[in-house]
Amino acid sequence: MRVSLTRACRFYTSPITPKPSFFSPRAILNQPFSSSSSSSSHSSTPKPKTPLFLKPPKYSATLSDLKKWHNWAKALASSVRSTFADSDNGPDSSILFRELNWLVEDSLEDPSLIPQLGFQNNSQSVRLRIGLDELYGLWKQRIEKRKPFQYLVGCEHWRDLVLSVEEGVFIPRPETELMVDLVSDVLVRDNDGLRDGFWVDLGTGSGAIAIGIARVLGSKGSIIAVDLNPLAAAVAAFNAQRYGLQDIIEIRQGSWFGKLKDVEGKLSGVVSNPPYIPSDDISGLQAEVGKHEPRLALDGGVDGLDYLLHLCNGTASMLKPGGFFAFETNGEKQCKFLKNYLENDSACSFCNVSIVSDFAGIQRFVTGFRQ
Amino acid sequence: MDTYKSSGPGGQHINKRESAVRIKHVPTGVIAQAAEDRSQHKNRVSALSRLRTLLALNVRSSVKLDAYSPPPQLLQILPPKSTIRSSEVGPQIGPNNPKFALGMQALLDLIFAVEGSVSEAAKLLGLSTGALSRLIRSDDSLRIAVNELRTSKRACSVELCWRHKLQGIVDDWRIKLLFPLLWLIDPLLKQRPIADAIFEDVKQRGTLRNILLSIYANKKSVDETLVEVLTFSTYVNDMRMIRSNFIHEKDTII
Repeated sequence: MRVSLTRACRFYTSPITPKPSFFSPRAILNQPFSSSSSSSSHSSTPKPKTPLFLKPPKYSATLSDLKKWHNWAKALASSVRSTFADSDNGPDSSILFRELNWLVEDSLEDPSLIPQLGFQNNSQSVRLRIGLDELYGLWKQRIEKRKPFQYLVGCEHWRDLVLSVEEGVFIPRPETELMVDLVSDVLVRDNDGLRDGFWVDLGTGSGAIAIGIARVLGSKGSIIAVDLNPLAAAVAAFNAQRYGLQDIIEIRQGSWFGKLKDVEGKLSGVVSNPPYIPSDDISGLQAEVGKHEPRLALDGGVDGLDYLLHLCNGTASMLKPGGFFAFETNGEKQCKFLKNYLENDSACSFCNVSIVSDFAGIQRFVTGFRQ
Repeated sequence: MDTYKSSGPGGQHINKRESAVRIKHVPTGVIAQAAEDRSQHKNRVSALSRLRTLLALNVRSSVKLDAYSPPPQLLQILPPKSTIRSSEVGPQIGPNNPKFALGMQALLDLIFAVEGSVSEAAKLLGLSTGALSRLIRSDDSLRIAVNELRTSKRACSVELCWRHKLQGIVDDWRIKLLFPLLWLIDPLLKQRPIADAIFEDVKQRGTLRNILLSIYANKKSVDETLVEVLTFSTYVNDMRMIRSNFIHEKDTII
């Protein structure tokens, strides 16, 4: 009897449920990769991972084992104090505690059980979407390797959406939420003239902006979301499908305007949050960003302006007359530079070029219209 | 209006999930915040709606009473039976509608102008006192704000009425005897048929009037209107309020 007890103690998951490593979460996603016009469908098309909160609760653990993990995780988070913040403006312990709560929320089948974690020695079993030993691994990676929280849970809450993200895909930022409001303001003022026609989201990543705009444009909208990274394209397609927008959003894998020849001169709107961080700043970024998010999505060249300038140069021929554009930038310096650049364009392609600040009061967006 | 967030370059540089939002209405200095949601956008929406409510509750404008004409935002929150409400105003909007705060603000301005008299305000709005009381009770923050406007007055406020009613019920010897039993059978009491059976008696206006008369010094204020207002009730809420009153505050006589 004693032998089997100690054996049972070593397994965090109930002996009945199988160990997590046998089951690939990707098997759950039976959907084929987006059937829309990706001109070259590779046989090695990446399959997007299922976010934690969508995984089936196949695992279980006793409340007391879960509590043990939770205490360990809290202690680990607590030991950080302000070391990350001091070294690279990373998160402090209070932010980590908040992330830990969200991790628990996404892991439990029934998050309303969270208060019961306070009770010791509770042998009641709870169902989890992830094995308890994997939970140890995840949190260890968070603290020791500074892996971004969003990659742990496989999702990011953004505007009124929950978007799947994974390593290799850029995590949508709260500042970018305003982009959707900029578009919606334009549509309201414009009396729906721009509601018809194509909108394009360049460098869509997880598809955040495209999906946000799709919900504003309504069922008659058409959006093309472009990304160079095939993994991002796959994740964006997954997210679009989750919101039932696969008929409105077309994902194209390619570089900037490269795959958009067919809509040249016809676009109602071009929006983008392109990489805009100056190359030299990348090494000084907080580890979650600099060491884990794709450099392709961050590095904007020497001044951070490489892609923004490319967009400014290409947008004039892409937009129809009266078409709208909005780009997110690194801040005041880039905004002022771009406004100047666009207003002094020799062909006078643009009018009403404006700078819009984000909610922290930093000049963040450059917008305008095609003459 | 500006939003507070930590300083720094922001944007692509940062991944710190600081989704909490705090908004300040610069002209009045009123601040509202929200941090419950994982999305900054959702917290912004919550904070804005809280700010709107706070402004409605705290910022008063004066109202001209002679030839008073309620503004459209106030008309919108009135029930259709109001005699001054025309059909052009549209359907009645409730507390969940973002525009409710504006109507609430105008209503509070009016009640303030009539020195807290719900009946006077009701007349000006083409409603019975009971109907206006019901409207006031439909939103907790409105109810509390009206009560605060009236606490200095001798008339009976909606909030005070509730407390009197409960105190009266609690002081009733039958309830005092029953209470230990109630504590044990509380889950049963939440069942409507059982609850109704026990409180049938109290619900009757005669019994209620007697209870009120036994606790009011000023018997004249125990009139039909008061009784009418108090017989509107939802049982479960009453039970909760009775329990909390009895346990926490044994001396809530106003």
